[in-house]
Amino acid sequence: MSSADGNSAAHEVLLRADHISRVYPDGAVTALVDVSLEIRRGEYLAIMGPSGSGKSTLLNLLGALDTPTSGEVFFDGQSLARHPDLDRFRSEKLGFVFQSFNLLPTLTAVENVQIPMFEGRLSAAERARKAVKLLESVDLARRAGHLPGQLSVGERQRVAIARALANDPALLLADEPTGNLDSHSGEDVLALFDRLHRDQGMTLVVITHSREVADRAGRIVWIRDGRISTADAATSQSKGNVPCGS
Amino acid sequence: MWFLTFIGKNLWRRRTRSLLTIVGVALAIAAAVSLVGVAVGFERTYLDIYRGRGVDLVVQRSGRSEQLNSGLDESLGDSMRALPGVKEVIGGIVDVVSFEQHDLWYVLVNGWAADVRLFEDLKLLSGRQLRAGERGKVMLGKVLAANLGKGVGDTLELFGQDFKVVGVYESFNVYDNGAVILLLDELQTLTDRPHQVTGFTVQADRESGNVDLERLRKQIEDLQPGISALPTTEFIANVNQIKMARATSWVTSTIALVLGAIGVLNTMIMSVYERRREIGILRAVGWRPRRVVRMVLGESLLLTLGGAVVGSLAGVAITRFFSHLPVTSGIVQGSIDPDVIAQGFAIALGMGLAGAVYPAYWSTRLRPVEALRAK
Repeated sequence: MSSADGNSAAHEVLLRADHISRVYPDGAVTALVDVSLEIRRGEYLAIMGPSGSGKSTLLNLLGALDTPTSGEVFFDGQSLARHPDLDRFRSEKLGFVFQSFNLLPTLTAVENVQIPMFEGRLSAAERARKAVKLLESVDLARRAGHLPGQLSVGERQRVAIARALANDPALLLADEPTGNLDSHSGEDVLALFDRLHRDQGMTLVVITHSREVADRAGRIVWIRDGRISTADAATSQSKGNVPCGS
Repeated sequence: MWFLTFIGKNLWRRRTRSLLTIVGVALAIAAAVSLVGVAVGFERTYLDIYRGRGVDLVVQRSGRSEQLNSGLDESLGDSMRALPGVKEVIGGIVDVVSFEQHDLWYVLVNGWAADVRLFEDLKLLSGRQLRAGERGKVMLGKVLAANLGKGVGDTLELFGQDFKVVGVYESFNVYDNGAVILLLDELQTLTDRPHQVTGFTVQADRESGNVDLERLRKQIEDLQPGISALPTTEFIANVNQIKMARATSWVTSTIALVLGAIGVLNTMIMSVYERRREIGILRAVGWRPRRVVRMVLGESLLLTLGGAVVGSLAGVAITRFFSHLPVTSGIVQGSIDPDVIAQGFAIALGMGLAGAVYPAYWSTRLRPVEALRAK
């Protein structure tokens, strides 16, 4: 259990999915069916499931990158469907980490980290200073001036994590963050997540199909055929006390 | 990192394509700047001929768009001189000849009386001025003399007759430097226009107080039906060759500019399409659509600004080059009006906006989740 779970804010629901479904426009594919889920502030949650089970669709909906066909997502009690500015919401409240890093190849590590800060109010110098600090926090300050192509895959993912933390988000969403990494680099990334959760009380949602990765989380939610798997939900209780519904 | 740095890096990343787009825009701007610049310079130089000599009104047969076709009786000059407020009236003939063996196709021939003040504006480089009553003598502008390879004492064939060059002069005006001067009465005979002139220039008497040019104009037009007295600016604006030069330059320039804009559009569409996944990342990390639009517009404007700089420099260089070519040296002035360069920049930025509007709009239609799936 993380120390964050013991905080006074630990029982607040940060993110809540309320009976959300996602049917793609042609109606042929129902990616997610009536999913309900609560994520508490400071929680470290892993969402597991096989390929095509709807994990990434769920992450996109939780991260306001997509909108549910039915149902609603609430962040801090506010419905995202009625949010006036989802771009600002993503910029200020969320950090994304992708499997393929998604760094911009022409920008150095320190410049990539600054990308989300453009929508904020920091000056160019302040952005640069903050980016260096973030790179220090992922132990990459010495590689600040390197292009993504000059970094190892593990280093690239750590730059991507620094970028995700650029605007001090309340929630970090990671989609298969170790999927493209060797075991050593993957361990580095997971250790970083552990540290963020333990030391900063960061709320983390990690999509993975790896049991090893999921075991680092405080709770595991299983998803299969677009539904939260009740059978596996029982298993998830062993990792924590937060219920998931469906 | 500045936002501009980010934009610059995006362009540098596809440097060959960026460079080719800049070259395309530069060619369009160079064509526009040089063609329009020559046309505007043509007009200004023409105007300078009259303004430099203090001409207030140009009198010619009404309904004629150029002096060459106009024909007025010399005696009209005396009637105008008698009007109050008139300081000087000069009548003359303007004709055009060509020297095919030298590739000179539009050489002005001026017929002036030996005693007109116009000679005072010429700087004699060699020889002497034309004298009243002499026949078979011409003066050459310095550019024409150089292009023909003629000097004082040489013979020149004009209107099927031999003329002896008695003087070579330099004028403040490029057209005069490319012209030949004969005595008026001799040119009248050669062109079969006895006692006729193609037009008069009138200088108002400013020493006698306020000049009412409009009133003077009316008085002159009342002297004889079918004549018009136009202020110099109005006269120049109605000269057929100038109107044609202006229209031709704009038509040609517009075609070049449209092609340039299509090049920018093509580049920006490809650029945005290829980077839709990156746009998805930018949107995912919170960039608003308007910032993505600013990025696309910024890249396009930076490309066209580069094209404008290169194109303007090339336009000036092209004009200078043609001002030194024998065929065009008597027509093309070696300088471009700053207004034309400013117009070139404005047009380039317009091209940048026109070429970026659709790709920018398209980028805002991209949903982050779909853009992120792009390969």
